[in-house]
Amino acid sequence: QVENVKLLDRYTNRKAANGTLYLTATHLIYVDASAEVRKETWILHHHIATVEKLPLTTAGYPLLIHCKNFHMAHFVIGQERDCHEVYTSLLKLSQPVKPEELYAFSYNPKMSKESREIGWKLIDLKVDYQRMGIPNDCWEVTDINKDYEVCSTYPPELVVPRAANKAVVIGSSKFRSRGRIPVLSYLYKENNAAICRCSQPLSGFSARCLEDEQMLQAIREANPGSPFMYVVDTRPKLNAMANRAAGKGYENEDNYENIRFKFIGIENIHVMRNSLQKLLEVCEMKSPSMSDFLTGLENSGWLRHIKAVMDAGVFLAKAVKDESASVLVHCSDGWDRTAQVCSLASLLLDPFYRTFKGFMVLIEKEWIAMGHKFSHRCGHLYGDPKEVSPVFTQFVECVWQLMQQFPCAFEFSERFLLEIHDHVYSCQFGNFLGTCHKEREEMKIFEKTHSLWPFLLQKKQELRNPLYRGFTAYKELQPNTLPFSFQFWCGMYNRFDKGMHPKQCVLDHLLSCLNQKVKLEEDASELE
Amino acid sequence: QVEQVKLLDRFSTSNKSLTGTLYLTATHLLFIDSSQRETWILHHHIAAVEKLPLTTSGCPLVIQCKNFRIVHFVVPRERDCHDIYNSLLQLSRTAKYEELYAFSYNPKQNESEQVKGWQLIDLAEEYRRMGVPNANWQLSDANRDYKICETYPRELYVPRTASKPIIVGSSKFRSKGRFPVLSYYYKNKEAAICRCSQPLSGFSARCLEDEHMLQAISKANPSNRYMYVMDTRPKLNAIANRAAGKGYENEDNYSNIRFQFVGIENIHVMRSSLQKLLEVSGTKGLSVNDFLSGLENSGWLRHIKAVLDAAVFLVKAVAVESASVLVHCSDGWDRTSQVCSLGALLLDSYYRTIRGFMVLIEKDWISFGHKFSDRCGQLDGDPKEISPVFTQFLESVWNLTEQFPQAFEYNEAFLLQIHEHVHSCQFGNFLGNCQKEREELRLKEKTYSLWPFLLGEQQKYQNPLYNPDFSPELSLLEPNTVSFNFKFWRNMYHQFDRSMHPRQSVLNLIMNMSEQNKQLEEDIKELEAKIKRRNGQPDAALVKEQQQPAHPAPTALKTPPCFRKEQPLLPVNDAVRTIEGSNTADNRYSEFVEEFSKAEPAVVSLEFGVARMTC
Repeated sequence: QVENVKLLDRYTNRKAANGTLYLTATHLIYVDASAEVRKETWILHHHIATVEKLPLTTAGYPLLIHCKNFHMAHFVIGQERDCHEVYTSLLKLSQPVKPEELYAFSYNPKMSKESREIGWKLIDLKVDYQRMGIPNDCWEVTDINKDYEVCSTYPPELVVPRAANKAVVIGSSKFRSRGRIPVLSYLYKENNAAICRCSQPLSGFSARCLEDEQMLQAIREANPGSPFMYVVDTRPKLNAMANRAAGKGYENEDNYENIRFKFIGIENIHVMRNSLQKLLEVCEMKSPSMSDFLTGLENSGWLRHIKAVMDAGVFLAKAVKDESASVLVHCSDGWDRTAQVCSLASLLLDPFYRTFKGFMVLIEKEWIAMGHKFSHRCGHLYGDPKEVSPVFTQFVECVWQLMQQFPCAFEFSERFLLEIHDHVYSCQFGNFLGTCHKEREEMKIFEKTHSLWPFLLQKKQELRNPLYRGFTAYKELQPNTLPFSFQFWCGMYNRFDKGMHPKQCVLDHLLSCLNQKVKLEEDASELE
Repeated sequence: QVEQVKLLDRFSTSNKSLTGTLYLTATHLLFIDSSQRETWILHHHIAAVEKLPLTTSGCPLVIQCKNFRIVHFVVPRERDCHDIYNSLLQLSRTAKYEELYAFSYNPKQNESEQVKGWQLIDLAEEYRRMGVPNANWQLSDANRDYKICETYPRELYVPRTASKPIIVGSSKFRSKGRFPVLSYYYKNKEAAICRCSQPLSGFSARCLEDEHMLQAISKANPSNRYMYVMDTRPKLNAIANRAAGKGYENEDNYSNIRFQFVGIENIHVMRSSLQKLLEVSGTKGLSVNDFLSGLENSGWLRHIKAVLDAAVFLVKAVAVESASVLVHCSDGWDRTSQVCSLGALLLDSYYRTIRGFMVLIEKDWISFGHKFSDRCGQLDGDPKEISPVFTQFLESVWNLTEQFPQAFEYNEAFLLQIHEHVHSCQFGNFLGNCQKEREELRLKEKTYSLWPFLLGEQQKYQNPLYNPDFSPELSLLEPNTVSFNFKFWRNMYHQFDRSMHPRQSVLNLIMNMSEQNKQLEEDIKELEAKIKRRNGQPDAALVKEQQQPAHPAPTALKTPPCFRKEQPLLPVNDAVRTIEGSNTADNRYSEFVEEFSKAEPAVVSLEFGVARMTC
């Protein structure tokens, strides 16, 4: 506990607030003493990305905290010793080494064991496959990976073409980076075109694998509506070619029958990390001129990357819907760009994924189950900073950009996205811990922690979109991806800068309008 | 009439085009495609016509409009194309005012309606609303015959202590005789916003009467000794003007003034900035980086920010320091109009109503002689005089509506419609350059006013989120002008590119929602009345509920209003059912979604582009 701490606002030059700083086991709490109403700022230790001591000023020792949810706090502490203590404890607390130290393992919302278990069963991927019509004549759910022998980063249950027997699957897995074989991600019931995902083939300069070729053939033949299938490599062509030297690479159109191969050119995790870094630097400028802001935004390349991801999603959706062709998507390991692109395409094709429940299913399916390395990408534990990358943040932003174009097509509002984004980093719930299903089982996530989804469903009323027009109002979305359609997301990157936002909240107003309407209707029926 | 003409979409990547027939009428260019959809383009809206090199499919003709519509026709025969080109050139360049559309436009109104329409906006009444004349300010008849200043209106408000010799003397010392007069009076603080043109000070000239005039203005404000003088030009420009015998006020010569440059660029910079912006927004196959760097290079948003910054400065001086402010630029009809009107808009919630906005435009733009005719190029004239000054004002207002979505009675469509008619020359309001010229043209007898026409279709321009009593403290708007807050105004610059807009329009939906709420409230009232009649005694509890206002106060929002019963946890077997959207909450929701769709017409969108000009 440190008293007489000042909190500076990063844009206004108003007088700094004076208050007290508390360090608890899980949170940093700042209580504003000067305000008439008790104002508290809570920062979860897991949210802290960096802590920085700045040079001494006349007011005291400044301490700058950057959070992973783009919150930034600038404290000024009176005494150097206090400042140093806070600094070292925060460093320690914000970088846990062992998974057991994560908040999720100590978080206890006072819930019975049964309801916790029910919470974990809320999202059942089998039900989603059933919804797509699987198993059917062409696709089946296989348990070939039940002991994680085929692929340790895939879930135990996979959907593959019926025509692909065990030998083909195992053969193909040997030819794919980390054994991540082609499996079904989404089946578009209307024309039987499928979106499948995998990792890059170990083709090098000339290697071939008969089973892998058969696997692709099986996928293509599972869709009788089209004589060909697309194979989409989401990497830039140059990167893919460079991988060939390492014995990896991409599919040769000559070896695979009737495939159409296409590069899409989404940059890798390192480029994305740097891009976000630059974007945040722009956000942190104190009073940038219009030119500074626009040049900074351009230089960061962030919106360019968002557009690239969106373009890829649109390409997939078009191939499936307009050309009735199945698509196989991969990048290098098939857990970053592939997850982005597959989930966006599903979101565009299927209105179910635009509901609360559906969006949860989508994240569970394409991100959690298929092994997006949340723990590494979000830096949950102390580890290699080169593995951290805002891949999931980009996905969330793409969804937000879609919401701007289709304000009535989503059941949830921006707040739902922000809430999820917060909890991906908060480690308060078990869903996003670890890097793959196997690891989560080993960590006993399902016994020891709680699931985020029931918690969010409880808050449904605040998180819903008052303009949603229902499940049946829109089917496929065809977004516009001209550069004019991409906006800087103030609500995400400057979320905690209160001065930055429209002074009036339309969302609140509409929600209260809707609530009032419900109330009035009830009154009316009562009166009748 | 030319048949088999193709209309190309400027952004679609596929080369699909519409085939149809092109007609030239006396006032419009009309294109009817094979599915009988009509595209009307007013000749006055045409800014440029261009013939492109012959292609295999025919002779391309690109028409750029002042409302930022760009159409790309392909005419199969070269001779036809040439004919159209020539006639459009002729028709779009009017030489005389009498040839403008307004003089032939006849909306079938009788004379008394026409007169009433022109009387709708009464500036004398507006000054009374502000609280003038009063002890310190009076109506001056000095300019009754336009003898002192041709470009000012007849009726001007000046400080009581400024006698006629002072006015005359001051006007001689001001460029084009535009001496300091009242633009807006802020009752709460007794501070005034005044406007004028630059002084003819050169390097050292002084004018005692002008100094008296400024003193009179600052004395008319009892609460503050000093006043601000804002020169909205960049300092360099103002200094350069000194060489031409013009310039700016010397702080030493005027007692108790605080002089401030604001740095808004001149009309030529703005014109070329817009030109660059349009080039960027019109490029096909643009990358995100090209767009952002193009947007930056154009400097357009920088200029918009400069205008808003100036207004914010003005408002702070008036509202926070209670100081009077005198604003000028060079001639005091471009930047000065922008800054004064935006300042008033921020200070006074009346200008944020539909009617108030009309008054504001009549006052600060039309009556004070913003040269609409020259700036919009209504007649064939000097292209160097054309500049998007008024467009910038509208864009600044739009930026404010984005920051304060509940503070404005009007919506974006209203701003766009006004912009449309500033260029259309269909109504008399914006013709000519000043009141004197308008009187000479006898506009009030020969043409119609735009305002009653807009009020007639008020429904379309209402902002469903508007909440006049949202919070009384918000009568003063304090916008944030950090650069993150400025956005490219897609609906202005891509108004006619249908493929560019959000595919779903929120406006009607919200409109229906608030209307339904009103309807329900009425229903309840009715039902209650019935019950009362039947029982002879009112149900106290229900009456209480009735008194809740339609829009709960903001404080109420923080504590979530009683939500419907919420399931604490969804049981497992519910999983399948919720997918179908059939848990109780969802059902309820889809029910009123259905209601929405019933109440709405089949096509829901702000279809600005479709036949708006067909009246």
